[in-house]
Amino acid sequence: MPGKTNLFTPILEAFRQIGPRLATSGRTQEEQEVVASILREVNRYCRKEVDGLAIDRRGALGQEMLDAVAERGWFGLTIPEEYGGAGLSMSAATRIATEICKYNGSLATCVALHSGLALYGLIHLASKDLQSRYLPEIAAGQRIAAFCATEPNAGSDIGSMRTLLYEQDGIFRLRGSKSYVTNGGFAGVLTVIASSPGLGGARGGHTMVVIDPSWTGVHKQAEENKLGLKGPSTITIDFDDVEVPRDHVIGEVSKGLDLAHEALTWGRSFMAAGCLGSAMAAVQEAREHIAGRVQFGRTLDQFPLVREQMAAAMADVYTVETVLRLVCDVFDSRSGDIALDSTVAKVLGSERAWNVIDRGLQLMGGAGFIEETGMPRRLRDVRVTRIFEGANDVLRLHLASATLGWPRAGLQEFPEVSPLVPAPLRTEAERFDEMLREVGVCLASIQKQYGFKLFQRQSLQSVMADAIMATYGMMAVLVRAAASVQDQDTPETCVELATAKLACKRLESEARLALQTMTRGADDEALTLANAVLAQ
Amino acid sequence: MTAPSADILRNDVDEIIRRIRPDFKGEIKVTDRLREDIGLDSLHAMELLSAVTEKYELDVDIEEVQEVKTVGDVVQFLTTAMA
Ligand SMILES: Cc1cc2nc3c(=O)[nH]c(=O)nc-3n(C[C@H](O)[C@H](O)[C@H](O)COP(=O)(O)OP(=O)(O)OC[C@H]3O[C@@H](n4cnc5c(N)ncnc54)[C@H](O)[C@@H]3O)c2cc1C
Repeated sequence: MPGKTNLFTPILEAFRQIGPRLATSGRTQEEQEVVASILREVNRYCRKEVDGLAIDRRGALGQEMLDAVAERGWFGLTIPEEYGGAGLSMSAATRIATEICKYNGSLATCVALHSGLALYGLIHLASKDLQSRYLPEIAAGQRIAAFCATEPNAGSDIGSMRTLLYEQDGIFRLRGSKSYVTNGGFAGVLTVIASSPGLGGARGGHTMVVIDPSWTGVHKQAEENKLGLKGPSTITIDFDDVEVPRDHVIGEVSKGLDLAHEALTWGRSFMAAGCLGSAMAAVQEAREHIAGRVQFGRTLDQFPLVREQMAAAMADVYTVETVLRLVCDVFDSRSGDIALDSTVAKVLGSERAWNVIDRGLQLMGGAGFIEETGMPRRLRDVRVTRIFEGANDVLRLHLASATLGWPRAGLQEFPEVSPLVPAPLRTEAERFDEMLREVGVCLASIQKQYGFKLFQRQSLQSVMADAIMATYGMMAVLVRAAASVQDQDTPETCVELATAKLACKRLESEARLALQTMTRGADDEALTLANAVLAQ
Repeated sequence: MTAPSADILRNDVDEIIRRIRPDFKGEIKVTDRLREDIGLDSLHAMELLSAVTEKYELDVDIEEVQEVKTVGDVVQFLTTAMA
């Protein structure tokens, strides 16, 4: 268990190197130009052609839109250039996902899930042969990808899946059923995780395979009727003893669960990118509304309460954007495993996006409740991001349990940030240093006090995760803002400084509240009531 | 408390694994890997270690615990912790 470093130290040690990179949209000048050109086209196309109301009414993106996306190469964002894709880094590709999501959550989910979760296996783990067979067609949008892990009886407990990959007369076959498959209805390639007891010398184990849905035995069920995200298809897919060529196994047989977690790690960053886009658009729409709407003889944006709420929403958006950029940077620079970092991005991103959109809707008053303004759709579409690719409640438990493996010595002392930031951010940096010290001490003492018994203290784990996430957010904001405001005094940097300060303050309050809850201990009243009314 | 025999420990570990993974068929062997052979993810592994430490009222310093990968490792870990 021990040996893995904590989430903070590696980033703090590279504080000054990482900061400037968070300001750019690509790893190289050339990539930044590619991103700029794709973003221009996203804006041009989406503004003209993407009608969210119409997508929701027909309950589908429609073939015409999928063709248009394919034509523009957006199904190839993350696919290496040698296979006809754009070969973008995660930093760059997530920028595109964010931009699409400003216009429409359904379209963004289709593209981002395809580019992230669904293609991770093929792009990063598959054999050259499998890659050259599938990736060119996928990059051209002739095949859209989907990811199949969830089953009727296996959601958060994904290891309990029953879909079986087995060997019969020397042939691999797949039998079972996968539910809630995003893009399922129009998918041309599926990444499937199946239980594979006995294969590869493992008694249990899981294996990741690539399936062509046109093969005999693959049956697509009817569309689900959802709260939101009406555009991308969501269906159950049945596999009736489907013959799977051996070369369609991705990675090592029996290691599929680890590979699925890797893919989810990638996917969560793309999801955070979508959340960011939705929240940005909600802020923009609410700003326009409050600037135009007159009540009590003044536009709404003249009321201090409204102004402060708008500012808080902008600071939250900055936090999500910054955490996402940091996670992408860690991934792209190959400087570390991002399993936990992307979990932070996903949880912070989905919850802040939900709150920001809800706040934006509130500021729009009754108009926010009317479909045509687009706010109801944003709220509906973003709701599922707190559930899919790992329910946030469960991700918090994973995050907290991982801290048990963090070497205790590393939690007692962290590199200090306050000497590294420009003067205007000194106070925030000092507060961060203090907060991280407190969080570190608290985690170390919980490690020692509870050990594995922490597992039985889920609410403690949950607030531990809150403290970690808020402190991580503060760190990210300081890394980025310190580089942006360094020696500069432009109107933009003044706004960024104010945003970063408010973001730090909000994150600090969250971390402090979590620490207080942690030290206060169990919620006895909640336990008493639960024990009285719920089955033991 | 007197330390239970290795057989009793094995039985307890088996029982807990079967509770966490009711679908798991067949005999559980000491060489079985928690992840690949039994299909336990990191939360399950925690649950397993938590349940055994709770049962024997062990106060384990996590820093002392080396990587626990197989059923045999769990039994070994318990034996060492109780010594
Ligand atoms: C629109 C949509 C699209 C999706 N797309 C895909 C896809 O493309 N591919 C795919 O494989 N899956 C997909 N999913 C499935 C999604 O990932 C799962 O719904 C999600 O992982 C949660 O699993 P579950 O629904 O079975 O919830 P459950 O596992 O039943 O959990 C329900 C709730 O119980 C609580 N809970 C669960 N476990 C614990 C625990 N250990 N401790 C405390 N509380 C707990 C949490 O509050 C959780 O939210 C999609 C789902 C939706 C709705």
